[in-house]
Amino acid sequence: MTTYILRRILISLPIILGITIIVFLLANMMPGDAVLAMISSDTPMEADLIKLRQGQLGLDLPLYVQYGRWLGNLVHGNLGFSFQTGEPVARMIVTRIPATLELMGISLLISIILGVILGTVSALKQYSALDYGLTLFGFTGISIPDFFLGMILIFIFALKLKWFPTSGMVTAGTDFSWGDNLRHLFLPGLALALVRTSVFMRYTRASVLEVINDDYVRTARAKGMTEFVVIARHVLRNALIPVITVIGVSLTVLFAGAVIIETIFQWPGIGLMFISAISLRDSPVIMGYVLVSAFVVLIANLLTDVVYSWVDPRIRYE
Amino acid sequence: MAHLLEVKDLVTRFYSDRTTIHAVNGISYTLDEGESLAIVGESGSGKSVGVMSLMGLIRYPPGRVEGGEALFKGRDLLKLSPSEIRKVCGREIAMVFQDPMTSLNPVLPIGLQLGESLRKHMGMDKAQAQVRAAELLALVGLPNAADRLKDFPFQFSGGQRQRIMIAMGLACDPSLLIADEPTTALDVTIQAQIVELVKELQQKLGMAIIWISHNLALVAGMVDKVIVMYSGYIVEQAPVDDLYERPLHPYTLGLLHAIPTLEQRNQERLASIEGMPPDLRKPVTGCPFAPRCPYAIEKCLQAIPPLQAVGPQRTSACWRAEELRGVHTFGDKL
Repeated sequence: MTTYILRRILISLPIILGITIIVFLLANMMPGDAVLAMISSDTPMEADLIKLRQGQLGLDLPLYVQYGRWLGNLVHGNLGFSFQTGEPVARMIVTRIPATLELMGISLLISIILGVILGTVSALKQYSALDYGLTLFGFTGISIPDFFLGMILIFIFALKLKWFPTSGMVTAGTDFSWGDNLRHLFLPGLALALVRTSVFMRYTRASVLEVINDDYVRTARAKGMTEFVVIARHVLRNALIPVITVIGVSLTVLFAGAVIIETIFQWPGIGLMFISAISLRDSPVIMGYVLVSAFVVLIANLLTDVVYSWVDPRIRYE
Repeated sequence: MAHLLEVKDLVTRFYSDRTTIHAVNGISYTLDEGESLAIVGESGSGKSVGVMSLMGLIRYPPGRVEGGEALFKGRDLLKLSPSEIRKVCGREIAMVFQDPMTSLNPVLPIGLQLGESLRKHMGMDKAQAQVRAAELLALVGLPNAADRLKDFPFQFSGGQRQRIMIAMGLACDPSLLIADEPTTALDVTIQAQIVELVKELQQKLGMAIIWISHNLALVAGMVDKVIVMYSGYIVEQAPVDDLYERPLHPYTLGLLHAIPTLEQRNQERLASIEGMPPDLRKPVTGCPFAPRCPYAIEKCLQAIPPLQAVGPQRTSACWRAEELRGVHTFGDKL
């Protein structure tokens, strides 16, 4: 198993390298650069001053030299410095990633628990009013883009009802407290979780229906097992195998979705950092984010495979 | 002496797409302690549904037990609550299913699947259940039983899996073991091994057995009496030797005809019963077998023949049962 994981990581390295090249090119093909993004059009700046600043940041060098420099630094564990603030990119990521992980983790946890339970109930009560209701909820959830859902939630719960704050992670000017933090987490977490819940629910339902009439389920009933044991131990253990793949894939989608949701809710995570880096043409920060997301994809896939082989002995790696 | 199991007028129906499937249409039989019974019939004759009804394994929708009673040790199984029937299933009545490839849970180790019923019904703890599970596997002739408890079903062959299923059935020392075509999915040599194993275990443990099969030849050597089912009805019921010697229903006769023999020459076509199995959606007005029966007369199409005594301990549902006594039989063929 360990060799398998190591091999998978090694195979992924060239892929990550390729991703960084593509993103580096794309980021530099955008019109404007970091220096132009810094200055306001109201206060024109001397052309030679702009040149000087571009030279200081290395922006006048050919692209392949710039990329080579970035890669060289990366090998030494240095992600570079933000063009805008001069802050080390590594530190920017490390300080912001807990917020993103909190948001992602909570919504993933909620959507897995809710999705699996609702999907199972929906399958067990197939064609009942409850099943139709959940199906409607599921399709609605899948169809609404999360940024739109986020705005609706802000409008209803933050602006109209004033139950939850509109943005941020804690109330400004107060000391950190978990209660306050969770209140801020609620709306963005809900926006991210709802879509995922619908997806997991639909897949769980289909999967449970597929195995519910299998022979081994009948065997379990013939042994006199209670309905709970039949469902939890015999049906779900088999039905959740395909759902695990869906959860694994959705990890990456969730990471991408967090960018949008963090922007809408001004959640100070890595996604918000990424969006502002793009508008400021801050390519070291952009590259840092891309590297992190490439790792997220890699880890998500690896995790899926490991969990998969753990729940399904038939594909267990020797 | 009271019977171990007494089934009276059992009726089970399935409902789908606004049609009703008449799967079991009022069957009655008895079984004594330690006795073995074969229920024989073609696919769709209601033989499996008949026994699954007893164990509460017919689920609504789409199926429902609609009438009759099934007295097991004096208690009507059909009237038990779900939690009461769960105490009988696996404990006093155990069932071995047709396809050992799919009847074991693919993602759970067999030790756990075996131990499950021991822990529930016998109040054993995990360790005790594993010890007993190993004993059971050894009992059904699985080599290195104790080392294999952590293995998964896919690591066993088909015959081994059926042995595991049988071990599971025997786990709580039931007084009735129902074997639902346990050899159908296996090849012929393994079939013979499984049949021998069950016979041997019955002698050793003394439980009653209901053996469901579509193969009259297979059950010949191992049961005391035979019930022949067709279209959800019992058409003939007889002690095993009498049945083979002198079948008193044209359908049984047809089934016996269909058994190939070693003496048969290669070119000879295998004998079969002409016609199609009955459509269970239509309620019958006459004998269900009449459309395929070479002996059918006008009366057979008009009235359902009742199951009536035609000899000691035997019944037949045929208007012309008495006339069949003169027909050539195949007792010597087996």
